[in-house]
Amino acid sequence: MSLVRSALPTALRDRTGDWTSDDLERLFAHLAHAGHAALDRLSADRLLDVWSDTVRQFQRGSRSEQESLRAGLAESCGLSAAALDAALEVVLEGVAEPHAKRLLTSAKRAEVDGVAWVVLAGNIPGLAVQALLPALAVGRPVLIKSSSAEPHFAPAFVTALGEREPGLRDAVAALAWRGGDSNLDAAAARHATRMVAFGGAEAIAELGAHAAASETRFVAYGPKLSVALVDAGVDPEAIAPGLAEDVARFDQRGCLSVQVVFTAGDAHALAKAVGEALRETAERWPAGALDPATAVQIHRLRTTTALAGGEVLDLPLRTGTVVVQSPDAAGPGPGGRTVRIHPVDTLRDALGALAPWRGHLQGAALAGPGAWALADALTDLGVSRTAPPGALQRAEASWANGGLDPTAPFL
Amino acid sequence: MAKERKAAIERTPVDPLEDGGKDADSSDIVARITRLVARGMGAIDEPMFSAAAREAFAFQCRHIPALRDLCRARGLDPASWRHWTEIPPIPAAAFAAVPLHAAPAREVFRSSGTTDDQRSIHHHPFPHLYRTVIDVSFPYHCLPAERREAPGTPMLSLIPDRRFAPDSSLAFMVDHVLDHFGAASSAYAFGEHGVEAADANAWCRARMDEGTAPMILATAFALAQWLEALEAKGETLSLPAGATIFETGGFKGRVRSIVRAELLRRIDRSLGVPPDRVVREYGMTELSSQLYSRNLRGGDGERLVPPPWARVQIVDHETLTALPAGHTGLIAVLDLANVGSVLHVLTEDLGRVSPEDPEAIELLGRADGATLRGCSLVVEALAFRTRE
Repeated sequence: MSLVRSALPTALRDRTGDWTSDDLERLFAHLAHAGHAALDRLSADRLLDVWSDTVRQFQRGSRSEQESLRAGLAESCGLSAAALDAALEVVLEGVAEPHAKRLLTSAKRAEVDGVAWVVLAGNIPGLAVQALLPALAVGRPVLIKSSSAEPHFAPAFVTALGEREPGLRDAVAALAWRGGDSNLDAAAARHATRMVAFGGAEAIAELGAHAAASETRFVAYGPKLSVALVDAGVDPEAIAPGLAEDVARFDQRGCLSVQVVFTAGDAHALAKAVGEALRETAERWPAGALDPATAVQIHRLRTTTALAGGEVLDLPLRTGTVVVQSPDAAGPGPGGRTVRIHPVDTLRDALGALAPWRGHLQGAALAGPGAWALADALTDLGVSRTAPPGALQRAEASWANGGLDPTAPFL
Repeated sequence: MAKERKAAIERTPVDPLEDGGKDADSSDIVARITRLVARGMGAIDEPMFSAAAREAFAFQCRHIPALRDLCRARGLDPASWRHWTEIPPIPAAAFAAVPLHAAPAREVFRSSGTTDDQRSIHHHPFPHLYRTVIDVSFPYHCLPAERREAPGTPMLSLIPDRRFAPDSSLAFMVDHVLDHFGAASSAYAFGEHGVEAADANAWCRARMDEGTAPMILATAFALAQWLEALEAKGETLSLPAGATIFETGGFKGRVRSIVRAELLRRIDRSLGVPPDRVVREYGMTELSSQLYSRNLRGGDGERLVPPPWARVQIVDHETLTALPAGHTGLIAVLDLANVGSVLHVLTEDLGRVSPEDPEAIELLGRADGATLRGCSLVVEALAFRTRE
């Protein structure tokens, strides 16, 4: 599977050179007409077969088939090969057959015609499938714009779908163009009926402005914070490996990546156990290179914590960072596999510390009955997913990212 | 327009034996470092430098509990150190988190920042030492030879007057420079809305009429503002031959930035000051000493050197180990004149030791803007939310 940067309908495949807004207009028009017709002809069973088979190819395809794609992905995403495999494992597992079937059978059909423009503004590999499946489930043709920093996965997946079901070539396209190209972004926003974006606050703000100017319905999945709550009496050694995976998978760049842990137990023992688990995880999933900006933030956190009398574990920077701090300091960290552990008298105190982050919370790994007893309260704070440590990142296709039904943005 | 230079600003006493507390401990080490600085720009050999650094750090550990605790927590044994490079660099951002001063502060400087918890606070117990640093290094690098002893250089500051920016260490420095090296005609042209271009232009024209070569002191951002005002009106100034510009600050924290080469071209075009007369200064709130380019002394305008009482390392951003010349890393400065606060500061700036001139470094911008982004809310993303 050689690296491709676009997947286009047959009628537009010969197009060369940089894209213009006129090109986009033609693409959207084709997707809207031919794409709707193709999706109308496609039964749910057939779509499920095609989808599931494609996912299996990406999950279990022979090494040589996937080699160049995975090498390209690892480089563009800045993940080690092993870490990339770990990332793709959960993403693809989440949209594999049983989960895809559940979504496809429960989805309503879109009543309004038109094309969805999905923007992936980040370095999360495989993210395209989380938007593509619900779009197809409601019968919505879609153009996926990959980040210029990760242009490989979406075209490869869309191409593979089209090889199994040629009609899908008219319904789904994947492209990359430089982010912030105002002319193209504005053109896409004008021609799309629905816009969905995943990424950072800055990118989302720019896209939102284009959507507003075009009066295009826009749903944004912005950056989120995920946490863990550990009850008193929970054995730190038992949960540390799972917590370490929740921290380290995607090099902590996912919205379900744990950054903050509240514990009503022994914070020192938990920190030690998590530190050890991060070491072991770093051997299985070596971390990608740290950029200077992230490293600076990590050094800042480590030193200010130590100067303020907090505990800082002695770990190589790339392995991860574990600090123990007062809950007053709870909040987003610098990334790079950094976890802050906050001791609390009772886990209910964690809710107060998290309250300022309402609307920016995504996942919570819960350990112990006292933690699970707070699941509803966490949902009230906007947490969309709870799971035991180690399972947080294994969200399946029906997961309500940001509290929203996955098909809602495409209806 | 020329403002009174002897404004009623309270002056701190200059006697080093009085500054910073009464104990002999601080007086002794501070006096020794003051003498080292006052010796001038002659080199300080490594053994002497390391000895002074060790003693200064020991003094800081005695008087700054947080620093002492840090060493203990990291298992560091300062008594065993032989070389200044063993002193751990402290991130500049730590100044925002914890008070780090070894004696009661006589001046308090705050960095610029969008929110209070982002602003570094340098509690400076020995501002006389800061003044001594300026007295030695500023004329050496920034005044042409014929002006170092001469009565005074007409100076125009596009950096706020200290009366309006009392917690700015740069304003403190410029106030001292104008006071000690500036002619009576020296002035400020920076108000609450930024550069006062009309005043700056009129002041410059007066110098042009006199035929006296001035010095302009400004941040790169203020220079750009002034140049834009001139360019918008299609005006140029031809400052007399010998005019110099002291340029500092860059575009830290600003949305817009300009490549330095472009700035120098515009200065030459609009002010008549060629690039080799633009002295570049690198300093920060968290330090007492500055690095300068040596172009007025025949050196390269893009390479900056520390004074003899400071040392600069370029360190790997992960391991904080020193990098060889030519490799890009974080700038770490060990500044003996920071004896009252933190000796060894890890900046958030990128640089490299010049392969052609290993005593100098080249500045390569801020280490900000993480390159690998995802969907996780991290502190860097918060900065964008704050700016909105």
